[in-house]
Amino acid sequence: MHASTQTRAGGRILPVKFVIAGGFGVGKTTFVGSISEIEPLRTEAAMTSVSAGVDDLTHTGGKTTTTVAMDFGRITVDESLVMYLFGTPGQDRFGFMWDDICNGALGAVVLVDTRRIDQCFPAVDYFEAKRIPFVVGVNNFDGAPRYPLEEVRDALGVPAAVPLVECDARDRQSVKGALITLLESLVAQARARDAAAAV
Amino acid sequence: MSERPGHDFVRPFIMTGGRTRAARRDLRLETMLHSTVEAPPPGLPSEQEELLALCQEPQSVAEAAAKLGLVVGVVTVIAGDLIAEDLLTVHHTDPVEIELDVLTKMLDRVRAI
Repeated sequence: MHASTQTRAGGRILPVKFVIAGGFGVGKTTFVGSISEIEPLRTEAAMTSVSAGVDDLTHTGGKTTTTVAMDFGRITVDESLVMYLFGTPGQDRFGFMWDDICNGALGAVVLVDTRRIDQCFPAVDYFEAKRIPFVVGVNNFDGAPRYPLEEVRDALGVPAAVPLVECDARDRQSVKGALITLLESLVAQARARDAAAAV
Repeated sequence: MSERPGHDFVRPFIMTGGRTRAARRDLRLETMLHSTVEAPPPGLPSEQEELLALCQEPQSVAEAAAKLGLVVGVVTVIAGDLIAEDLLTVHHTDPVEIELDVLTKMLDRVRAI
């Protein structure tokens, strides 16, 4: 114990986490940077994963630790509420190590590059499996073919309940629009939940 | 010159007293760390002192890691020790059901950007 300990009166802060996911190079860090009030920060996490292998018969071996970089930003709502936006590591092979990042996330944005649409499948699968609400942001790259959103929806196989928006990660208004869509869908879900509870 | 970090390179387990696992699994990336004391008491290991000084203003685990240049897992171990000493406190360690008014506040904030 420390005699100098003085309890502070300071208010508590509720951190709310959002995850920005998608394939490598799809613009996750750009997305975070477009809306964050701070320059995106980079931190590294050592993540342990169990290697998949039929020869892994012992319970001691087969674990590997990889260090992956994450970029994140922050939006302060008020003195008691802060939003954090975390970009997932881009490479596919880290897809199964997302738990450390996504655990406790309120919602997610999955960015899609229409030239490499398959790259976002792991993210879509992940959030569906974890029941983390998400929106799909179709990133408009210069020179990329533009498809109607419904065609993208069909290609992704996501239900109508998942909002799809066009999203240019470089454009603040566009990024803002994607986040607003996500928050609006969360508000709608919360209203439905509260209404159901009131019955 | 070597490309590797030089004199300031310290293996993470040195800073964590040999432990490689966070004592507290409830510390997530966004968990807010807040110092309970105005100034770090004398005699603390330097990395504990640095984290405490940084957390005079509430910081998330991820922010603290980025600002101190440490891997997230190392910060959770150091923070765990400080929490055990009552020098550091955490805000909201459990996932909470986000209330409608909190969601609305976030929505209004993002709309105002």
